[in-house]
Amino acid sequence: MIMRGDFLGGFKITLNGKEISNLISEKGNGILCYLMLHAGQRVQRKYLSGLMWDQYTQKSASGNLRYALWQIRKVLRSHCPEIEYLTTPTKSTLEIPLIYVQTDVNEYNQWTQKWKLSKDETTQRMLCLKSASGLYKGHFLEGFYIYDVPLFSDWLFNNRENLQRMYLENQMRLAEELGEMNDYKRALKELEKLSKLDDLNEEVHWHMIHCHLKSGNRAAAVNLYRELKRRLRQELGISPSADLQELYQSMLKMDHHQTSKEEDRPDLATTQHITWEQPQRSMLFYQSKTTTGIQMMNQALHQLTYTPDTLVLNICASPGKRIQYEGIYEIVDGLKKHYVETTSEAPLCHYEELDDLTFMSGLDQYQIFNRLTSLLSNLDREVVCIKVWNIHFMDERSIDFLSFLYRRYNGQRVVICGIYDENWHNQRYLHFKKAFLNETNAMFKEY
Amino acid sequence: MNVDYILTNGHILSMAENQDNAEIVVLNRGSIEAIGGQELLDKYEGKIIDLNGKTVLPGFYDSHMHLVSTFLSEVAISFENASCIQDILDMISEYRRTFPDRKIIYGRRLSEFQLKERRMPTKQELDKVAANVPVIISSIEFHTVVLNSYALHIFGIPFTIPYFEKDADNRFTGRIRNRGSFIARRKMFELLSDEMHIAGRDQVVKRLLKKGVTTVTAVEGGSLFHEKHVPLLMDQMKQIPIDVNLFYSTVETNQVMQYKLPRIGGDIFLDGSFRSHNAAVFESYEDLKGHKGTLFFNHSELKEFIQYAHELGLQIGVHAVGGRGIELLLDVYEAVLKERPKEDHRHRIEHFELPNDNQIKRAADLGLVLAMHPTYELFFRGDGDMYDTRLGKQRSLRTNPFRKIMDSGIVVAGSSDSDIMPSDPILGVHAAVNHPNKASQITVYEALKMYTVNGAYASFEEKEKGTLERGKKADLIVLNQDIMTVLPEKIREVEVAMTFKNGQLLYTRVKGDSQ
Repeated sequence: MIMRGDFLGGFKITLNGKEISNLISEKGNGILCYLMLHAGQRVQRKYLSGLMWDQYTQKSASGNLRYALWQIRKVLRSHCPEIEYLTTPTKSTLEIPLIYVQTDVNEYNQWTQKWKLSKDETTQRMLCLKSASGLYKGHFLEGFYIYDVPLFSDWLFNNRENLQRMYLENQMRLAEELGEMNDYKRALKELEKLSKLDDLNEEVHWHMIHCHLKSGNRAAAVNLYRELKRRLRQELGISPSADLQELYQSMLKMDHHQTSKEEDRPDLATTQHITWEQPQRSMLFYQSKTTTGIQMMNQALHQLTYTPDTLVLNICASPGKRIQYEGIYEIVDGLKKHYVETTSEAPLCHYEELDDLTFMSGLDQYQIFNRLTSLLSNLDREVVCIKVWNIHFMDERSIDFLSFLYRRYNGQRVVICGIYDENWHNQRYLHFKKAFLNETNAMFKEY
Repeated sequence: MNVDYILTNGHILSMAENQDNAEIVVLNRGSIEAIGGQELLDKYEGKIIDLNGKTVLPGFYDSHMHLVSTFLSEVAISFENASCIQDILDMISEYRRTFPDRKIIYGRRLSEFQLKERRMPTKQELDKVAANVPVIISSIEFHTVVLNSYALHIFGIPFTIPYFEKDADNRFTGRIRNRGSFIARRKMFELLSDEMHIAGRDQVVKRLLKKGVTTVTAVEGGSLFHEKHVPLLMDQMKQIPIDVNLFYSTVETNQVMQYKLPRIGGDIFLDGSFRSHNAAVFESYEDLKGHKGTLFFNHSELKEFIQYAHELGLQIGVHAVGGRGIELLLDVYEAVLKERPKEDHRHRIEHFELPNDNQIKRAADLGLVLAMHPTYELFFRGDGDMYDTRLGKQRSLRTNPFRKIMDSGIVVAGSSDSDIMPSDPILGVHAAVNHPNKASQITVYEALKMYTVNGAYASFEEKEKGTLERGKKADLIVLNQDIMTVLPEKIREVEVAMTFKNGQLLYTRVKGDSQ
């Protein structure tokens, strides 16, 4: 019978499918974990006793180790009397034979070794990388801690560090391989796992942005950059690295024809898909060119509140002109965050829709507008309020979407409001305003 | 006319431009009803306080301090008097005996310069006295932290970040530097309950009143602290009897507008600190050749933020310590103000520790306000101390050049940077008057202005506070000695005898009250 240790993302030792770690003391578990990860190797008793009882005399530490081993053996024998898991090859050493042990850590190491050896075989490499990725359910011995064993803690921290570094390297490689197969969606999924481990890792973000760009989704790439930039400033007080800034600048300069799919998108103005429906909902835009007016507009926008069951999506909040679709992507991103933060039980199809919308590249403009509108209408909130903090910076497609949303929405559940700083010029917004100026439920207020 | 208080027989130092010799101040309904001579006694009736010739001043401003962090310091261990590692361990042991239920131990104000070993402790040392409770110790300016093993475990900071230190045996020492320390501090703030955050509130307010502080500019949020401190403090405003002007250290104008704040920043780090070798200087650090510190913004990014906030009509404060940092900030302010000129913007530079003559002139020409910390000269200045070590003797003579700055006409608001330094304006006055570099010394009156008139100006409050004049808020203090005539080296011994806030007597010194 195999003794199994699951040490990635928690601590669990099972024998014949039954958990035994709950029957063993903390230090006993620490010892067993150490021996399992060194299965097939002789471990000095003296080393083990020092690892666990370094502040004790040698005699006392040895006594404690003997007792802990007795307890472990007792549990193991009670579950499987016919196998001697814990052997004593010599008087001063202990060993668990390799054939009796499986651990996720060792398996993870093995898959890692294998992919490194299978340099020229893509299929094999992918299999190894995916298998390894599936095993890493969290950090080494996450949640497992013994208070007064500093040397064991050092061992634990070093192992945790090694595994984290290995995971970082493996996931990056996996994403790279998936990218080479043009499977950017899955590449991004793998990178997102890394981002959860270290959410301010700029290298990981650099690759994520690249994936978005390669899949033709410049708006998502720019949005991701802006969010990283915001968090780096807020949490670490720094700017993104020079590499990332350079990448961002190049994204801005990129003509949208350079991104693969955008050029295929029809111009909404020429399509006849939109049907006019009598609006029954609100639209409120403030505009001013004076500092005082702008200040008042900002405060007014903050004060706009609706029912407690309103989902507010803040978009275009920081300065800087937006690229096409960026505002739409911010709405998609806001919806995703809403589901994550509220852990709402959204129907699976909503997540799929959001995923598809994250990868807008396969969709034409009308599909994007339609599917996002539909998602908003099926939201678990009474009202959705989209606050556009700087509509003067907003891209044309996103302004078109607001127009579409306003006209298309059937219920009274969407409020669109925003600020226009007249010191800037946004022709699309001016058209938008003209189109809605005489709507009963729309208001354009000057400060 | 009946009034609340008549303070008689005082030496009234109103700090107003055209102050007359006054010896009586009349307070009523939170304001100064009258100020003048004996004739006022015939006009007003009320509770008379005979000052016996004591000096009366406007209540002090502390124009840059971290209030929530100062609250927290009350429940933290202060290591400012530790002289060796064993002292630190003993203090932790004592703390654990005194507060066995505390779920986290936070130590602060530790400078390796003051320790015999000239190094921070390691986690292995901390584990010996605190194995089962997380311990986090911050260096004096927060740029290095030390965690014990348990904190290292529960904080869960990914080991893939490059800021962990390891020893020769490849073991983590528990020391985390630079940006890593910010991450660790965030984790600590997240672990600390709101109750723990404000547990020291009343003690801090009491101490501020004892030091004569009636208005503070609280610099909260930002990478060194936590954005949750802002709403936390907003919720506490009604329980705090002194005025708190909140500076939210963020570049997200949206956040600031949400709280209807008229200002943004405070500690938006353009560069770091000398202690951490990341204040951006023109010439290499004395003890780290080839290294000139770090700029955390580039020109365009900083300009984008400042321009946007400026257009929103917000007062802006940005942290700039070293010459290179100051230069970049001046360049950006200059560019923005050239494109969008605005009278009376009162944008600020926080710290301004090592400016050159040209930068002082440029700051004056731009109409900038400086928030500076004179007590740095007391705590960082000694032989072999921080300024000396990092900048070298010659260059360190140029730090905090108050004389030149005052002569250029710039308004300097006196600040403590609490809880890095104690909030104690009289100590600040002492430090500015007794600046170790004689050429940088200023007069007592000029130093007092930093903590009164200038503080009010830096917060757009000069019409209601900062001087003792009829109609202004009755924020005033009584000193036990005449600060204008006491020997310069004795200024720090002057004590606040009474503090009035909004006409209420909130602090009276009793005999034996230690400072």
